[in-house]
Amino acid sequence: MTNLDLFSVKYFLKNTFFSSLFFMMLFFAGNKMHAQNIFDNESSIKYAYYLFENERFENAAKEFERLVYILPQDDSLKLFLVKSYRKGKVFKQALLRSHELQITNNALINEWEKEGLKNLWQSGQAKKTDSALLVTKAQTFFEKEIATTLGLAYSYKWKDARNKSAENKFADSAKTILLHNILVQQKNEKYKNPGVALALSTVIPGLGKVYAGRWKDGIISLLFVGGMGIQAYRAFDQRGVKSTRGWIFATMGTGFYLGNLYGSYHAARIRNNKINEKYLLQINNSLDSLY
Amino acid sequence: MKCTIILLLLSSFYFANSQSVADVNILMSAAPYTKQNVAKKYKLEQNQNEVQMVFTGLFRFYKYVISSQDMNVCTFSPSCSEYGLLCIREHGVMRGALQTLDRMMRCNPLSPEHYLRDQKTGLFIDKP
Repeated sequence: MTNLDLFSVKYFLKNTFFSSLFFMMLFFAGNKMHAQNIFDNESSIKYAYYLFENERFENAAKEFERLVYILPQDDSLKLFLVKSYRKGKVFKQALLRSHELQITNNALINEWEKEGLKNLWQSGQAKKTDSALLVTKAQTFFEKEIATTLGLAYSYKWKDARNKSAENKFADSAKTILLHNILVQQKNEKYKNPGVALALSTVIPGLGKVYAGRWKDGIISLLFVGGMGIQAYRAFDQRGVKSTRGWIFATMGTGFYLGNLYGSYHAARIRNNKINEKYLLQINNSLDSLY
Repeated sequence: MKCTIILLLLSSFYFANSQSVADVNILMSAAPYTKQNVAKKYKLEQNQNEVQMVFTGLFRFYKYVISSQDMNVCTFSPSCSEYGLLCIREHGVMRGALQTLDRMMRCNPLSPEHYLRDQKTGLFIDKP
């Protein structure tokens, strides 16, 4: 027997050991291939939760939508579908699906109701929280108190929220103290009154913007309005009321003056909104641990 | 003096030769944010009343005829003229005009801390 014969097919099949090993391998490979159906329900559920845990909420929502259609009796899938939409910041769809889908599992009703409230808050409909809380069934008194506090905070009623959180501060240390600390920090913020900004800009153009924290915009406003004013004054001074140049500069100057008033009022409001958003972001980031 | 004039004439031929219509078309297709393309977004049919129609017409005239001869100098996205049109469409002539005048005073690169940047154009984002 030569070396060449050793590797030939004929020799291979004649050899009992090798041929039996070959068929065994084929058998196991077939078995393995059969087991790998990655689109069955079990694998899909695993994949959906994997996407959710890795914060790929957009893809997770698509996967959970598919699963909710296939397994309409599984309530936890519905809960995670709505959660995926909320965490992916698709609040409109989250609210829509939480209205459409029904939960029958008693163990999940509490979580489902909480999810509904979180959707209301984060989608900017915090004023509906009170009426939503009246309908809720599964929540404890303490949870309802926290929900009311959060509802007040999300509708920018910071003082009421702070008072409410002070009442329940010692009921549950970890959650309430975190929320209370955020609300106390907010108390130290200095808000700017848009009315004061408007009044200041009426007296000196741009002063309202300086008050609202935009001093560079304030200086530019003063230069614009002042420059136009001086040009109009010079033209009227040289040629009297009939000066065309004077009227053009006077009209433009008045326009910029009024624009500066609007801008000052708006700058103060934007500043206040930014402060509010800063604290809402803090609450949003710790919302799942708070409630 | 004669030399200068001849040089100028020669250079003008050089420039005139270098810019064909095909070159301009290639440039236009490569830049989706050209002023003409922005103006094309706002059509007269989109308006809800005559006032909006007049201002859209003025905006398109400005973008096509006047602004297109200039560089893209506005620091904001949307640009001041586009912002003005959007404000007038959304809030009416009075408030829209005030917003536009305020925006024109803010149109400078001195306060980058107050705005987010557009990733595509590199301009400050300031929507009405």
